[in-house]
Amino acid sequence: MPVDSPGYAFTTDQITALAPDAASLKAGKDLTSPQKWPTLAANSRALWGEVQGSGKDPYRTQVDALNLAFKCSCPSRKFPCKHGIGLLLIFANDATPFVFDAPEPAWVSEWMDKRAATKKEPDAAETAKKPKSSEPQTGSLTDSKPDPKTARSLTNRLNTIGAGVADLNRIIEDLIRTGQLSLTGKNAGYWQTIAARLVDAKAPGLAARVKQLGSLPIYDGGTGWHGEALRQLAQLYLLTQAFGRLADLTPDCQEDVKALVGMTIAQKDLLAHPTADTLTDTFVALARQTATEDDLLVQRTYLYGTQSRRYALILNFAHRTAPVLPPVPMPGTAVSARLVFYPGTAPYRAILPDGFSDAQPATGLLPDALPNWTAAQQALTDALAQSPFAAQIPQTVHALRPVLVGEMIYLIDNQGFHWPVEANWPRSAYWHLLALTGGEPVSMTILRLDTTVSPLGVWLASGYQPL
Amino acid sequence: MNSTQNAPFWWNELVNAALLGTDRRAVPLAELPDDIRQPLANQSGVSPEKTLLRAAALSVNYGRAGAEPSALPLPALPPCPPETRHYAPETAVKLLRELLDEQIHGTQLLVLLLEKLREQNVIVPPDWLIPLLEKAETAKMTEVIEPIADLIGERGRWLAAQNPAWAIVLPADLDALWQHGTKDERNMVISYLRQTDPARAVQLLESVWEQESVQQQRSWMYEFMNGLGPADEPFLTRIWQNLHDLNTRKTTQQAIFQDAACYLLRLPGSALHQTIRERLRRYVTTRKSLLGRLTGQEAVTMTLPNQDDDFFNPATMTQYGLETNADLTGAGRIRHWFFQCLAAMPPATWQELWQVDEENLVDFCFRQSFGKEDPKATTDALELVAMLRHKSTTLARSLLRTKHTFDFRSELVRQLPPAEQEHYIEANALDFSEYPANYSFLTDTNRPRWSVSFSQYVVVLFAKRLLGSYQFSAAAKAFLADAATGLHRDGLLVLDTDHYTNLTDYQQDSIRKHLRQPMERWLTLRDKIQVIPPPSPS
Repeated sequence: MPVDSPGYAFTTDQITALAPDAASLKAGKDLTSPQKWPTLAANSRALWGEVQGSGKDPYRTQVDALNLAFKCSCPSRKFPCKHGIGLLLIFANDATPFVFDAPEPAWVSEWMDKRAATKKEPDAAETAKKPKSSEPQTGSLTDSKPDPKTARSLTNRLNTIGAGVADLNRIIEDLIRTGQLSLTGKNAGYWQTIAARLVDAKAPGLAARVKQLGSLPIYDGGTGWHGEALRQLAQLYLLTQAFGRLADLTPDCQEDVKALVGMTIAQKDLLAHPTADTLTDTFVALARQTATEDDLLVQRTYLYGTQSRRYALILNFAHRTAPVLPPVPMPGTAVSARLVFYPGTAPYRAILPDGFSDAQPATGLLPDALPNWTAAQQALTDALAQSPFAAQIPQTVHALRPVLVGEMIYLIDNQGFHWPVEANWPRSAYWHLLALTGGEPVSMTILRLDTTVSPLGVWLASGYQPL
Repeated sequence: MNSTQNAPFWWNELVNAALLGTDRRAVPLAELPDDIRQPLANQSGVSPEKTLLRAAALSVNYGRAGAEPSALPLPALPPCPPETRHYAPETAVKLLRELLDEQIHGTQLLVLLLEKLREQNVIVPPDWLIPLLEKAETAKMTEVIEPIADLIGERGRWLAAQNPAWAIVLPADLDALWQHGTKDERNMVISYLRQTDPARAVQLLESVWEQESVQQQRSWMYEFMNGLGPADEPFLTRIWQNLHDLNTRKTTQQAIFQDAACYLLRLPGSALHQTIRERLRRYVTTRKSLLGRLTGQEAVTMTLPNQDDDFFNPATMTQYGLETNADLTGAGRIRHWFFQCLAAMPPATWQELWQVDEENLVDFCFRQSFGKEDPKATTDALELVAMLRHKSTTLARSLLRTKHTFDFRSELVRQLPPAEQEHYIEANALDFSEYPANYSFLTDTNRPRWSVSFSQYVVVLFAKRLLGSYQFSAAAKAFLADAATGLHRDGLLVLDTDHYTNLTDYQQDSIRKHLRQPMERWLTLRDKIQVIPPPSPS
């Protein structure tokens, strides 16, 4: 018997948060006219529709409604594509055009059945003591009291990583003893091999840093790599030395080191911990950045708590072939949410265990801005004093003006001091900044990189605007 | 401290030791600042490579923590003038977003919106400056660029002044561009002036002509196609004369020479024009018929030049800018030159030669022996005059009344007033759905709304095209989107008639998806644009 509702619902905010970027969201909104969809149907587990695209045949779009996963026959590489967003938006706005309890066509049932089958596998695997997560690796909270089995597992893992770290130490020391110039006789694959060994040693964080060394212009005849190679090797060595002396470090510093090595904590362990650092606030979504790193899609969402004055980073991972990322707030909006922070000397990375609500434009909110670059530098120095591994720290600095000199962009404060913007910051963002400010001084939120800054957005009288 | 450039010397010393290796070079501990050296003081028993790595790790963090912002003076941006006009109402901004985001194939709806906002003397909010400037940069259409230049306000112009790619929206300082611009910019100045102030363009060209390369001269000769008039005659005559006097001309010089002659031939005051006119006059005869004797009117006829008229020879014809077809000889070759001469003459000269009104010129030509013997060449010559060289509505109308075929029919139709255009297209069942760009004049935003009948005609035309191919070309999509500026909404009602409701489901689906729904959407957008409220005074 047909029903008039499949038993689930979505809000526009939720769907907005799923969009990979503003352009996809706009494109999805353009597909919300039901006339564009010859087929619109839903049942208790899925939504599906057919939409005419530029190809001869209509695109087949489907959504796993219970797990918010998407599939579409269109060629878009964005995920979800505009058709997936459009389909959900129609459903959220007015589900009337959908045929409820429709029999699933084969192209829907095959996908859904396959998903249902694979979903069972992790449960089975879990009982076989190998938990899986969307994150690369898991570890445990510092002061948790794991059961003996978990403790044994953790000890084994620390030993495995320790062996990998010792191997890496030897390689770095040999390199410095014989001279970095010997690298010119090798190729980029040299670092890939070392990184692969570190992955085997369950230290993916170290592996990622080693891979970065392979991207230095050592093998194309350039000479500008000398200092940068030493800088990266020194930072890597500092980390491996710290890992070797983990027991001597403070608990928070231990967490910093373990996270950087690649021993991140499973979300369920973080949530289960009674003393986890939890914060409920109205958060402004400062920026969202998505990058592909090897086979992983890495999404970084930067938040700012308007009452707590704290910054947070939501880091989500998905495999490139099944890029299902959880909803995060749209940059430029303010949302109500509860964050749970990972432990560390200056807790920054967090999760959104309950999602978020009340998304609205970030108007009428002002940040706690540092008055100038001198104060910003002092804040960075303080952060580095707490942890030498602190990186990409967000700051909001008052009254900055941009200026373009040659190919470089600088941000000048109200005392005439300036800091350079990273070279690959998109020039389009610079023009957007000028359009918004007319060149007038404005409070800006930036990420502090090693020697440059990366602007995230500006605080105008009308509200926060991401760049 | 990620590069040796601008790094302190002690860091460079560390880098050098790391490059050569601690087996060959000692760790330069003595060079390090105290803050780094002191933690490393008790390093007995520690290998040199470990010491260097520790020193480097300390140095990196020392550099990060102790970095100071630079105070070296930087050039400041010029101040942005304040805005004095209101922002466009929110409804207009939403429409702008819709038109820019959706990448509709056509541009006329956007032009309609831009013109509407321009009428209201408003500016767009800062968020929309970049999309509009980028649109101006890529559109390369005056009807898009000009309203954008106005709508972006002071901030938009200030922004455009920072980015050369957007300079197109700034008022051009033509003199400065001419004096200091690149080759392309100087060409642009001449091109622009030929359309707006041809005499000024000639002044500029005269001032530099002799110093420029023949290739540059040749490219400037093309510009005389715009704004050709009596004021150009002295300059073109000088060019023609100078090259005429040369014993030998290089290929490019020869081309310039012929270009100059070709233009001069079209100017009634020029010696070349007068010579040709007088030559043609020799082949005009007047006689009084019986009726003429009674009424006092003379009958005029025009014959083809004689084969023995040695004026029509390759050397002379080349001097007059006329082309010689190597495949033709004898009478055929002379006829070829004759029609070229005809095509160079403006309608006024024809009237004078033949004592015929402009309305009757076409009839006259087809009554003559040359018109009867070679109607295609006659049509081509008339067409060239009517549409390209002298743009005569009367001549275009007369030509379109004939049953001849035309190479550029759409250009002839363009010369007619709007109502006549629609009537002609409908009456002659012109199917322009395959190459609709030729009929883009039908979608000009300043054109009156189409009649219901013509709207239905166009809808049916494109429906047929769709049923034939099941999808539109990009050009057809662009035309249909642009057609929303002219189409009468009732034009779509034709799709409710039995002919269309009796089509197969697939065909009806195709018509609905590709024609009806997009058209309805664009018409709705058009209607929304037309009722945009004026900005609130607050």
